[in-house]
Amino acid sequence: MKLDKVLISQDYEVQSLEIPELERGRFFKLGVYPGAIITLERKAPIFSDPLIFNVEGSKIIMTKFEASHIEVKALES
Amino acid sequence: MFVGLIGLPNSGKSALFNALTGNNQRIANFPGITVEKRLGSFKSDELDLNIVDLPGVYTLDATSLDEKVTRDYIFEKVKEEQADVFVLVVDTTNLKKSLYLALQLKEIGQKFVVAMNMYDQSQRRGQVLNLKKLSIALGGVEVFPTVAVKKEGIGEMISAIKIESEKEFSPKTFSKTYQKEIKEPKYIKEKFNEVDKILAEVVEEKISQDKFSQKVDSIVLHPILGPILLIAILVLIFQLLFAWSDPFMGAIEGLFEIAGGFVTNNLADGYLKSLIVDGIIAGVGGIMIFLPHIVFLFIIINFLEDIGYLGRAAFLLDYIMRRLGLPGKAVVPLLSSHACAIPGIMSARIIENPFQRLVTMMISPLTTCSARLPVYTLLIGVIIPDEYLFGFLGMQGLTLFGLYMFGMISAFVVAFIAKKAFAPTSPSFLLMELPPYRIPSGILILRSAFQKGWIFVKKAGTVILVLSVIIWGLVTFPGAPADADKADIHYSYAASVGRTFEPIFRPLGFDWKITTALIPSFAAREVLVAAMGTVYALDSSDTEDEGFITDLSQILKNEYSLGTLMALLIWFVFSPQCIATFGVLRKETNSYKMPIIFGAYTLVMAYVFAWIAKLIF
Repeated sequence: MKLDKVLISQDYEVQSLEIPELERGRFFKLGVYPGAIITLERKAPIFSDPLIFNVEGSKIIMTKFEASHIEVKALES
Repeated sequence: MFVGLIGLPNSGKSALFNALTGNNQRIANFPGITVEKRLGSFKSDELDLNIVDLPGVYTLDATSLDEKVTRDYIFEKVKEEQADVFVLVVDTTNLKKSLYLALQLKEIGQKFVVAMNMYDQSQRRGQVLNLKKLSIALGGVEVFPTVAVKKEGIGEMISAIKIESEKEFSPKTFSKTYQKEIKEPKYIKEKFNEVDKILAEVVEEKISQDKFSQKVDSIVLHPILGPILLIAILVLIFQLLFAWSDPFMGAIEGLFEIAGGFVTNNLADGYLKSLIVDGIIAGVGGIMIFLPHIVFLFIIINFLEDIGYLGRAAFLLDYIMRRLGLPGKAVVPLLSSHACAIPGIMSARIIENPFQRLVTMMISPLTTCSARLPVYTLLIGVIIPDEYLFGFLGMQGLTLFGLYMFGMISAFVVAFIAKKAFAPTSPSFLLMELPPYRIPSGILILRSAFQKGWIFVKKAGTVILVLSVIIWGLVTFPGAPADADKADIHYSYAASVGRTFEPIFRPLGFDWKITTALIPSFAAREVLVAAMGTVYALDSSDTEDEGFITDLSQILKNEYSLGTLMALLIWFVFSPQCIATFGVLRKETNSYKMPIIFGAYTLVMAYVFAWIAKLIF
């Protein structure tokens, strides 16, 4: 499934990023790489966009647009 | 010996830099670009250190301009000032990504020591670390705890730097494709796995959750409370900016009036006196007058950034601003430009994306700054009857509000057009880190704000002063003949220019008197009021004098049609942009092209909309 459809407070594992190589670097370095565990923490008021995720112990902001380009797999909780 | 401070954004690197260097620091730019370079020094009996505070990076794979600067520095592309030892500043409360960077420094064979910063917070949250094991895992480098904001651990850092510098340097050879390799998912996964292994060894007691940040976020990002708080804070920023700056601006104005008065009384009449009083003193005064706004705006921004609110505000505003192709943070420059575009343009530095930052700088001056108010007030007083709609809505106030909205909407429309026309065609994928809430350091905030003010004076000041003197020359020379019966300005080059361009402005109804008065108002918009007075030979010694305003209003009413006055009013929404705006754009974009494009597009918009206004009324 895609990262923009995940449930709040559930853990997911990043599978792949459908993001051009030039711009992928920033995702990797902030901890969004294949194999990383990512959790949706909060959605913005009113528009429910952008989203705050917890990954590798820090909070990351991205919009639904970016999230829809990231494939994730739900982890058993 | 040169020491480079390196670390993730928000690791407390700047605080450590300040703790180490105190007042022995200066700011320069990295060659050819607008990224700030902070240099400082530290002297003791044994050591003489030159310290460079490098822009924050996550890894050696550079994806932004700031990161490229740091990467190039590390890979010795800056030959002079090459660091002998790096200090890796680690946020001890969030180790993972910092250790990733540490492994990379080790990999490329750099000499470095590790400052475990914010160690007190990490302890308070129950984290227990084995620093010896960490040192071994990183190849025997020095690892020591620091609390930069409390200046703790500085002594340990100095000895660590000394020990590391005395070690034999064995540069490693890494493959030429290294820069490519570190972008590969395989490499990244391996490195993060390596970090996990080290953490399993080093962390004896895990850190507890940052409950404080969670709690604050549940209010600050609350679906209803969050936006209300945001609006309240934005209104407060705006109010503070005016309230705090006002007395200081008054004082600066007063000082320069005294200086001008002193010269006036002590020098013989002539061009020299005129140059000093109306050219140089007025010009320098025109630079200094911006300092209160700049310093106060940056105190506010630094504060909001350091406590962690700026990122939250950007998050809340992102959805709306994104429609215009701008990030949420663009609200800060756009809002502060309502006080003055100079600090507004400078504050666009908080925007990471270069294109969005440029667009923000180019549109911010369209919003209504306080220098337009005297002109608006004069013209509205002449054009709009002092009557009330439905008995309570003042027509004049309504018009002023309309002008504010017109400026704001114009800025948004230009941003939207820029996005459609010039934005990079492929969609850009953005993400940012939201820092935890922190207690800010007052000294750091103040120092950085004053440095911003000083840089403005140094870098933009020259351009502004030169332009002020040119304008003074245009208004002063060649001077009135002996038998002159009109005000001096009638015989000036400004008047010749005004007369030359008058035909172009005829469709707007502007005569040469208006076009002439527009020239000095490039120095500062509010000068138009005085300049119109001069053209009509009114005694303009006190432009705030009721009598002066009444006389000028009467003249304008008699001389010009409603359409022309409306056109002039609309003209001032877009142009003239003051020379300080051009100076600061020149500095912030590091180009002459952008200020010229800016001047051209605002002139075209001014003409088109003024012409439309003339047609309507």
